Amino acid sequence: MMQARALMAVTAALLLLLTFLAIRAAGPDTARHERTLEALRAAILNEAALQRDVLEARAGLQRNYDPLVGSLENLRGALDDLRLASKGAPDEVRAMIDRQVEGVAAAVGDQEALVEQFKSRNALLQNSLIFFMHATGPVQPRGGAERDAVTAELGTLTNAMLRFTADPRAEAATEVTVSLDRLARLPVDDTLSESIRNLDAHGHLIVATLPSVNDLVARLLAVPMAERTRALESVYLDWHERAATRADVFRILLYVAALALALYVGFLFLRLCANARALQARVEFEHLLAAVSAQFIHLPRDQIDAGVAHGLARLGEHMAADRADIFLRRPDEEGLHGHYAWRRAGIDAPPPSAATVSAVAVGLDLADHERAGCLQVPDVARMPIGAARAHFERDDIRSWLSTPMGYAGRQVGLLALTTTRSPGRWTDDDIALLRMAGEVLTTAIERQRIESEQEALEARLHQAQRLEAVGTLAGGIAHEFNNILGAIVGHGEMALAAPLDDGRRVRRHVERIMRAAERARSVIDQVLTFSRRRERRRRPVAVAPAAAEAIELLRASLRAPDAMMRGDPTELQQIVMNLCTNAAHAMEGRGAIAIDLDTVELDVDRALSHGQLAAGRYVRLAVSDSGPGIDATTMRHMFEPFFTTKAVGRGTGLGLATVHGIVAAHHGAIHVESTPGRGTRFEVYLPQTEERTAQVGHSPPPPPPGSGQTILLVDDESDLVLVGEEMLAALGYEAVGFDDSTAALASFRADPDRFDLVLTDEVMPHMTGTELTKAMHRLRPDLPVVLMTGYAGPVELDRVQSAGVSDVLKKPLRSTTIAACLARHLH
Amino acid sequence: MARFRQDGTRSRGVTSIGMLSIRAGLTILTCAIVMGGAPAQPHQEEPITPVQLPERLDAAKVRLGEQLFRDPRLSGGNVIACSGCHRLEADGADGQALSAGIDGRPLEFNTPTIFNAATSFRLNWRGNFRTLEEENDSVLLNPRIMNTSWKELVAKLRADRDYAKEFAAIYGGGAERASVLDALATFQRSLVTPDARFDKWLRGEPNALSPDEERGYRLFAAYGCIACHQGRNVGGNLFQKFGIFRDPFSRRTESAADLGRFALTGDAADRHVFRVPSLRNVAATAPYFHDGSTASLDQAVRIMARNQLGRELPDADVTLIVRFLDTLTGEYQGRSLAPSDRSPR
Repeated sequence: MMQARALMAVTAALLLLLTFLAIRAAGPDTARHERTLEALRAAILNEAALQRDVLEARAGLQRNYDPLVGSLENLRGALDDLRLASKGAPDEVRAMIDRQVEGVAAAVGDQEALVEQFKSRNALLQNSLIFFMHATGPVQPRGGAERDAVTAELGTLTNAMLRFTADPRAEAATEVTVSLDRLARLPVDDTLSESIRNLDAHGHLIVATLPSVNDLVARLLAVPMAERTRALESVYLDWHERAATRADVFRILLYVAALALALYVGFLFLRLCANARALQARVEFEHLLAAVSAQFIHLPRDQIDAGVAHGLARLGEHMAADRADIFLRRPDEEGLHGHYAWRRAGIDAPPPSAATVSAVAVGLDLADHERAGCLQVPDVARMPIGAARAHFERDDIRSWLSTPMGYAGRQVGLLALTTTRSPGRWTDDDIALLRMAGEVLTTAIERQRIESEQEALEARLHQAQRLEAVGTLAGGIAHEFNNILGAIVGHGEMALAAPLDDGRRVRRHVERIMRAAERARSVIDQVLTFSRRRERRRRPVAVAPAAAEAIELLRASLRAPDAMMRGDPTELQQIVMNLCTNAAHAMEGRGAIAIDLDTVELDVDRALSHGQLAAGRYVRLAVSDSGPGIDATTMRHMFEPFFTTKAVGRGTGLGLATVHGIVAAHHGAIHVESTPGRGTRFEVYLPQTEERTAQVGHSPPPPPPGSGQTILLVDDESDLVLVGEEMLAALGYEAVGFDDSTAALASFRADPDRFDLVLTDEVMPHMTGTELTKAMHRLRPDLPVVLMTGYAGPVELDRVQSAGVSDVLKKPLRSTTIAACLARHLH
Repeated sequence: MARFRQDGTRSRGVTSIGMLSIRAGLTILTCAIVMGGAPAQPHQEEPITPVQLPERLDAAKVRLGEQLFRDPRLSGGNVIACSGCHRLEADGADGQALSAGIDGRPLEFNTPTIFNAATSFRLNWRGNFRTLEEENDSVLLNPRIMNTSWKELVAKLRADRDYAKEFAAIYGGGAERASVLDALATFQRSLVTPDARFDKWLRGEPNALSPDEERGYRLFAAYGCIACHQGRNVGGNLFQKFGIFRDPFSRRTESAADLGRFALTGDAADRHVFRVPSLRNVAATAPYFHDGSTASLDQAVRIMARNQLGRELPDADVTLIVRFLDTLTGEYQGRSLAPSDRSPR
């Protein structure tokens, strides 16, 4: 708008100037000038012709007055033209010329008046002269005395007349008059007297007229016609020359102005070209943006970086910046987590520092520089002294243009163009373009990030699914083995309890069986733990004592001595032990293991290397080693059961799997960071609780024995029913066993009050333990029911407890456990 | 020549032959002129020159002017046209001593012929107008002659569709004073009567005049008539006093008209001074003098000789001079102005 107005003003001014100059450059009217010159010439020529003709007419050589009339007419015509000569002249010059013209006109008027008189008189004079010349011939007297006198007088008269015409002085006139009078007085005859009378009349007319005609001619020649004409000519030509000179000056000015206009038009044209070029460049850049944008959609993730760098370079080139940078930065995080940079060739200044970027991001005294959502500092040198200017100057920045990069309402970074040598001239268009480019680049960068995260998530999901599958399989197998082991251990215990006939040898065998069974149970325990099928009862656990207990020989820093979590202290110890064992094995006995315990609070969900953490408060147990690190493949598989990097026979491949199982069961997650050659850090996050509890590791007192109470024992495995009956009997109870839940319920219905407690397996055909419990409680709600189970996740525990089950025992049953449980519910 | 010049490949020799043949042609032509020259010699030294039709007159203006000239609407009350007195089919005048004015009473001066009026240096008997436009303007507004006003006249002309068309075509507008006067004057400038036998004689036709007529011309010159009656109009180019040697007004009461230019200038020297009238068509334009007082040309010649030259002419000389004057009658549009009974042919 401003430009258009300025352009119009300049054009109008130039037009005015040109018009003014064109008017002033117009010289005196050429046609009029020609006519004036012609008239001046005509005046002089005709005046000369008039004088010549008058003299000729006076001499009798010219007897036609048409030329005189013609000359006068021409003079009058010339006067008419001369009266127009002063047109266009300045007033004073005009008055001067007009005065001269009127002088000439007066002269012409005088001449005309004289010529008119001259014509009339000269006609008479010439007529009389002709008569006189002719008459002196015919008037020849014929004979007689008079003849001599007349002849003599005629001679005298002729001579006198000749003298008079040659020199018309008064004496000569008197001579003629006297002679005429003498002739008239001579006595003559009639015919002669007529002639003499005529001679007398014409003679007198000549004497009377000739001097006056001569006088008229003299006066005519004395009219200052030529002088006045020349004076007029001089005045006129002088003015004309001055006017022409001035017109020439203005013509030159006009030429200069026209030249200036032409140059201006050229300048405008060049600017138009430049604008067109800029526009074209911009269109090209927009096309490029569109193309890059489209390309980014299909670009493989690993090429996005190159695409962003390329786009940044094109942007920097197009905007004539010296540097173009993308700083990836999240407002809730410190520092930068990504940076793309472009530098114009020949610019060796480092990119703007993170401090400057932060300063811009928080808008440090830059509020005045905001333009259309972007931040523009056209010239740092003209900024007020302040922190922002200090930042810019420290980074050699002469001008700055940046746009925040936002994605889905979050700020993810900053796209900044800077110049280091001269202030950049960025227009509103450029700013719009920068924003557009920023959006395209942001989209690409964010897509890359999201895709990476998604890929990682998918990998973890796969891992989790695999672990889950392996866990399910292992859990199923372990359950079976557990039942088998239950029978072995039960029978073994009974064999040991019973007096053996063939003495020590058999007993030794049984004892070995029992030891092997114990080891097998430990393995199965671990598998069940991993598969999260172990029944747990959780209670508040103080982590530090538990961990410390587990690591008493290890150097550890426990910075959260009061951290509490819900869980199983044994399992907690197991985590520490397994991680430390793992670390020790990894270092092959040389190096340092650090154990840290602290608490963290997460405001947002956080993705870890092996799992996802919801926002909340966590106990973080970290075990760091200085070992060789973990490669990517191992990283992916290390929590799978039976996956081991150790030599055959040195590890079970269950240590980390167990840790994972325990952590998962506690709703925690694991984060592993490993630097090859530098070491590995395992971080275990477990949900923190505020509850307080008793110390870990104090065993309860031994339960009191039974006093013959009747226990209803139900298990679909008849072997286990037998073992159980014997175990209960040994503990002082009377056991009634069933290997079929339906039969057991029928017996209970027959006499509900017969039983003091029910001990039932959960997983059975026809009717599960909980269903049985519900059926029995319908008859006797107060009846305590203890459930035995090989699996028992926390959820299942809740379910069975809600079904009215008083307690849950984990298979395989051990008499001590049973004793404690029965004592709890019967005493 | 042009053909050779255009074709530059021709040889120099051919060009020279062409030059030679042209020179030969020029020589033959020159010989022919020299041989036939004597009888065709024009009389260039005479004080009288032939009158010629004006060149470059706008034909449309002439036509319109004639229309106006013949249109009685140019007079107040549409009484009379210009041509009412200046009868173009006759001698350009009305043959009366004094024409009757619009009021029926005679006008002051004899109506001069309109033919060749344009060639005179002043107009009317007293030469009181320099241009035809001035003269026409005066006559139109003169209450005793045309008795009109420009307002009336222009209104009448504008009301006429044909005139409106003509004026628009020629002057680019409606009729007005300037255009009406211009059209009238242009027409009047075309009223020239060339090809009088004397003119033919002047141009070199020896047989255009009879010996008597030529003798009459010599007398006309010798007596001094030619001192005033010279030029292309045989007069009409100077003023002269009527009555140099005798007083023609001595036997009567002088009228205002008799005073001549004195009535206009008040200068005593102008008493009885008139514009010398043209003698072209003089044989056809009786009666004579400013008051039309003389019907006979013989008589007029005698009066002029007596008063202006102080001579009493012999009858024979008068006859010869009149014979000469008769040869000054020219033609208008191919028609001789001479009354048929006088025509010598």
